[in-house]
Amino acid sequence: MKYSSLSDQDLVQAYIKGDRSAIEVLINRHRSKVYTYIILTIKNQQLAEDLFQETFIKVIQSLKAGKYRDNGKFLSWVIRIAHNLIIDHFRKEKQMNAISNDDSEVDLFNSKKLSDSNIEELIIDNQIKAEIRILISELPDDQREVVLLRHYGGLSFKEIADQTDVSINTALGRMRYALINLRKLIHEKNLSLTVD
Amino acid sequence: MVKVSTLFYRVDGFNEQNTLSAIPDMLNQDTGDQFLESLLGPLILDPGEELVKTIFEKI
Repeated sequence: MKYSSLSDQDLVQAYIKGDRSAIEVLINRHRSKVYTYIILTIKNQQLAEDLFQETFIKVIQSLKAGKYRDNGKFLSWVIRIAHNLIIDHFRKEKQMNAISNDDSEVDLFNSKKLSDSNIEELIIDNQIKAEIRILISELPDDQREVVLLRHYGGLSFKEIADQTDVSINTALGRMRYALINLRKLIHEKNLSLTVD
Repeated sequence: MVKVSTLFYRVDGFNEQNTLSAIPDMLNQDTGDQFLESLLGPLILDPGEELVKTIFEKI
């Protein structure tokens, strides 16, 4: 079977019917978006790796238990699980404010995908990623949350509102101010954020 | 002659802190998504295959 051509829904159904390889394809298809969402939210590489694993373990357990309702948005569902695990973690640890930007110097760019690039391209690529990451980290928490759920999870504003326990208008308002703030920060820092 | 008080008259409901009206294109959802895509598109961090393998070892 050629897995790469199958949709997320097809792969989910194949896994539910007992094809173990299907879930591996699904995880590998979405691993970067889920990992990026987690690490941009919590800013700690070790914790991000733990929560990444926990997320997909819960995904697998939920699929086995028949808890997944296929609405064609597998990635959004996974991101919501990751979001809930992050919230649970901070509730347990009670250290939401203790996580500081001091952890932001971890090596986030150890990507195998980039290993074949030449050094100069790698440096430029890393600089751009670092600058974008700084921009995101400077957003207020509630605005950053909406931006990441929207971009990496593809959640609708209704889903974001439900997930973050606010009204749709509040979610939309947070997005509007996030976009305004991002543009302002780009202007203030005089960033181009593109490779020439 | 203009009274000084007139110069400082403030229209009810006007909020100089509200910058939304200055950037009307940001109110458009599609425009917002396109902006996010252009900004965050390059920011994809790969955790690597090894981390995925450990998931299956834990199950």
